Amino acid sequence: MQNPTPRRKFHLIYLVLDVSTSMRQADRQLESPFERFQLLMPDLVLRMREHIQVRTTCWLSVIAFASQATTVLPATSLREIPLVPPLPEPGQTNYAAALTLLRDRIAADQDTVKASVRPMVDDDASVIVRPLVFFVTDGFPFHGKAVQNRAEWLPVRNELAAPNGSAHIAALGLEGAEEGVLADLATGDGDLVNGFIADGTVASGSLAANVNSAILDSVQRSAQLGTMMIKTPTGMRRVARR
Amino acid sequence: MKRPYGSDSGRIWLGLLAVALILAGAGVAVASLPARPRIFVVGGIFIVVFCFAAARLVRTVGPGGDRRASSGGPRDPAAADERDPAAEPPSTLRDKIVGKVRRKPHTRTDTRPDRGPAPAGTEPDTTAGFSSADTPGTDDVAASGDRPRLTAKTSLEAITVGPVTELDRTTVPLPPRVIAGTGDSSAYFGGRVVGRPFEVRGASLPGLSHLLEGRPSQDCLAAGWLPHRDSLLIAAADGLGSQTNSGLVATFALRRLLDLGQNSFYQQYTLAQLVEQVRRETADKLRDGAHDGATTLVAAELRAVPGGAETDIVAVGDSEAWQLNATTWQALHHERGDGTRALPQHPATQAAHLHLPTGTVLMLATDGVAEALGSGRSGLAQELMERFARPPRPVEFANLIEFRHEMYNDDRSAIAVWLVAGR
Repeated sequence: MQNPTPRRKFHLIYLVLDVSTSMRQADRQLESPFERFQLLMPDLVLRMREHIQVRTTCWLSVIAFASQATTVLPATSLREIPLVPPLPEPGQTNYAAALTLLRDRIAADQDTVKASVRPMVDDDASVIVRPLVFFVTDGFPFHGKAVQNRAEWLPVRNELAAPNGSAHIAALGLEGAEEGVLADLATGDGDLVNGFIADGTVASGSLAANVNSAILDSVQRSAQLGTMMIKTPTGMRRVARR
Repeated sequence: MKRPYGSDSGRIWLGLLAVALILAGAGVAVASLPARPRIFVVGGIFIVVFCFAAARLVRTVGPGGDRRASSGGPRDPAAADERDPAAEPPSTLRDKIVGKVRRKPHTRTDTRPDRGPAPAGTEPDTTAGFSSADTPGTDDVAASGDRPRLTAKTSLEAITVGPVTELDRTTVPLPPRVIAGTGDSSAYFGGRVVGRPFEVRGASLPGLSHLLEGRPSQDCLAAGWLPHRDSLLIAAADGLGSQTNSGLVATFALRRLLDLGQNSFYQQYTLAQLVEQVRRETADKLRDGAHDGATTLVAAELRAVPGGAETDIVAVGDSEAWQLNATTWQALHHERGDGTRALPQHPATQAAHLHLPTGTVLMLATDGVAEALGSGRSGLAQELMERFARPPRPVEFANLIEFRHEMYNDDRSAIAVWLVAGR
């Protein structure tokens, strides 16, 4: 009789942050979403680690994008407290660059995770490394002198979401984001898509804090359940599948 | 603010000189007038002067008048300035502070994720005992990084802690007041005391056992500059797990210790007297019996002197104080054994008064860290000795405090001061 091979699930968590110029515009409380994210990032990381499942099975990476995309924090095990460096300078909103970097990083980071957990598992085949992507933006794709059309970034997104990429993507749109873009970007289950857009009831600085809380909650739930779970952040509504 | 003593007499002489000049001018003008108008002018001047003097007299001695003038002379320059809230009588001040604590909204500081409004029924208890407001709050910089830039907006005294653009620069100033830990919050911080040779690092991290069991951390750390005493205060407290509200008691004790230390009224108190005052206030809070709680506490006050720092250490219970001199760990306070002494049941004692030379590291730690130092020759002690050769980055300090050891899974909190050369 053959013994079943235990499956071990690990998660690569990607925070993909839009740091374009518009993210730095202060709201009526004189605080910009960029400032709030930068302020809350270290705390978000610390609080993620307070969930034992997250601490032992998750790697965190932070990617920032404006005119270009940059890996701010390479994939780092949450067994250690990572240092999140400052976010880069502002620019435009280059979705194609962000998604391309994300695709490249996921492929490399999955190998890194497998290598680091190899001593703990029977064989690599038993290891599942699932990327959970939190894509935070406040605008529509724009680069150079024109809006980026879907043909530039949607194929890359589809590669990520394909079964072999297996990334779960939650798209969180602050004030200024476009609902259709978020719906295309996010993955989901049937008609329930993990795209959320500001409903205009909360100032953008506070909304950034609410998004942070939703990400924290989602990471903790998802690490436990093995699939992406995210609740609608306060001050947002779920977008409809196109 | 107090005015310079003597400024009033100068002002009086200037006033008299001005009056004399005016009278002389008026006299010359009046003398040139014919006799009849001269009488009216002189009479008018007398009436005006009389009315002015009468009005002044009424304002001086009447209800709500200037008490300094009514007392017959300038006040004692050593007396507390009535407009300085820090100099109010202790009872009034205590009422004000306690009232402030009780009114504190049930919110976290701006440095932490917003958890949304508190659910119904979770408002701070404003009647007695401890409340959620006794956790690190909006008055304190709590810390998951060290971002002085943010302190102005969120206000360490109007927020905690704000992480920052450059979290890990070791040269950032220490916020004037930091309280970190308790609850389920991990925190670390660091910074340099501006103008003094003190480099501070702190980290409070929930223990693995608490995380697994879903129990909150009950450790707390505090650091603050005491301007009236020209000294740095650091402290660590560990709420006893056997009593429900010990985490809140730990936070309350450290918050009050900072309050008192930063209050000019208490500037003549020794550190031991401050801790004793905290013990009494804690006992008062618990007196109604509705809440229980107790905490160990170790506190150190450092005053910069040439070549190092004069240091007082006061402690109760198994939170410990250690100094590291290049190659040697030396315990300055430790109480290990059966039974844990704790505030408010047990008084704190003066553990040490000593001169720490430049280059020394003073570390206060709760038992989750301190026990692992062993007798100062354990693996952790050796590791820290090497890594503490110079102040590590705050995040590195936090990772060092979160060492992995299967025997030590309690909450981990430590705060250390490097006595660095120069200012």
